[in-house]
Amino acid sequence: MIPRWQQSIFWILLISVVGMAAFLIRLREGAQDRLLAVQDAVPLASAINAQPVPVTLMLAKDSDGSLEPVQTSAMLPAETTSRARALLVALFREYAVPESPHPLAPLPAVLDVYLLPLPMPPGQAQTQNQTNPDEMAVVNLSGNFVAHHPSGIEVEALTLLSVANTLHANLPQITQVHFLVDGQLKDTLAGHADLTQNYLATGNPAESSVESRP
Amino acid sequence: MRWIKNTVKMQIRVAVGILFLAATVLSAQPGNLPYAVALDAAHGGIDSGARLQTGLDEKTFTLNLATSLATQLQAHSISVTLTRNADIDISGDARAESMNHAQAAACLSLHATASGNGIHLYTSSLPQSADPGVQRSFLAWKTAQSSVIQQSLRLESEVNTALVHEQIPVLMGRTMLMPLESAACPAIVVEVAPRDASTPITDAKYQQQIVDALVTALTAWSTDWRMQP
Repeated sequence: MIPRWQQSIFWILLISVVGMAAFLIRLREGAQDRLLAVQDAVPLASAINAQPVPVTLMLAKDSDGSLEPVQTSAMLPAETTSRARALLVALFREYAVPESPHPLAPLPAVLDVYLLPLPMPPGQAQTQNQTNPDEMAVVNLSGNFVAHHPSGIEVEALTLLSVANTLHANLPQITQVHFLVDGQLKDTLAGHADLTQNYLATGNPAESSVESRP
Repeated sequence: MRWIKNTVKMQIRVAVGILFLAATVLSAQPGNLPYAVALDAAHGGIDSGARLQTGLDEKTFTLNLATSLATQLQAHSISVTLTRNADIDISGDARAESMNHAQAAACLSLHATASGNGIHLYTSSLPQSADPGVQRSFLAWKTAQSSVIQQSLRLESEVNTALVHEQIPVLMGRTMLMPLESAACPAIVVEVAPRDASTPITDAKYQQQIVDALVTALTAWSTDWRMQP
């Protein structure tokens, strides 16, 4: 027979253990929330004080396979890579509208944009004072967005050319664009458009294409 | 007398050898090859391609279209090679190999999409090789199409004419897509989209118009192809 005082202590200890466990779980969740809040605050150069500037979005149209330049205004950060990312956020916001002529899933599309200097074209010697002003943009797309992208040769190519030409229209030094998905190389966007190649942005959408590597 | 006999025998052997070589060289010219068409039904197996509508994937649509087109072409006495005739997943390289082995005069890669309207025709975005008239023994695998890109553009034009005649909206462009790049034959991609908002991709009349236009174009190409440089 267990004495009554021992039974009481057992139940008090058990309740204490359960209570402390619940308290610790709540503390852990609070710490995680604070950590995520800090991550969200990672500085993308602030656009709060920026004035709206005119930008050109090269909007795709599925019905005739064209890219149409549309003038609008947006508040853009001063730093170039953040500016490029903000431009693409504005571009994909247009496609998220259901009545868009090139409707895409209303999901965050672009995770990051990086700019890389391009080497001098073949035949032109690179001197200390002369470097190629052209740059390649590496656009890191979200895997979730890519998984929901419509499949087809035209629709996939239009998305990629729209990105390349929007970047070139606003940041003319960007002449080539390479695409990653969740930071990884992927063969195609949604089964068709080749993501292993670089996309050329010439300023003339009719001439834009993937880079040929004979 | 014996040396005369030997000389005559030797001359006959040399003559036969020359004739054999000439026959081999001549048979390699486009004008002497039998006219054949290669059809590539895109996707297959675990690669379903685009979801066209509930219960219909791109792989199924392209296989049905390829089979139907092959039947019609064979009825016109045109030899047809299919890169796949079942629901199997084959690589882009294997598709190009199949097309090249067929020594086809026209290679069509068939795709379908739920986006856009009408038919989208594509040729490779590879540039024309520097010496298109020169017949080379070896072609770079990844850029084999560049040696015949002008012929591919003419084939695209032929198909465009036939589709427009059927009053089907057509959109033409250039793209980078396997197996197009490694095909050493005049090659185009035919992507079928809904004709318009009221005519879905599954419309039987629309599909028949597409097949009819492609048969017309490929029949006309059997003559035009032999006149290519």
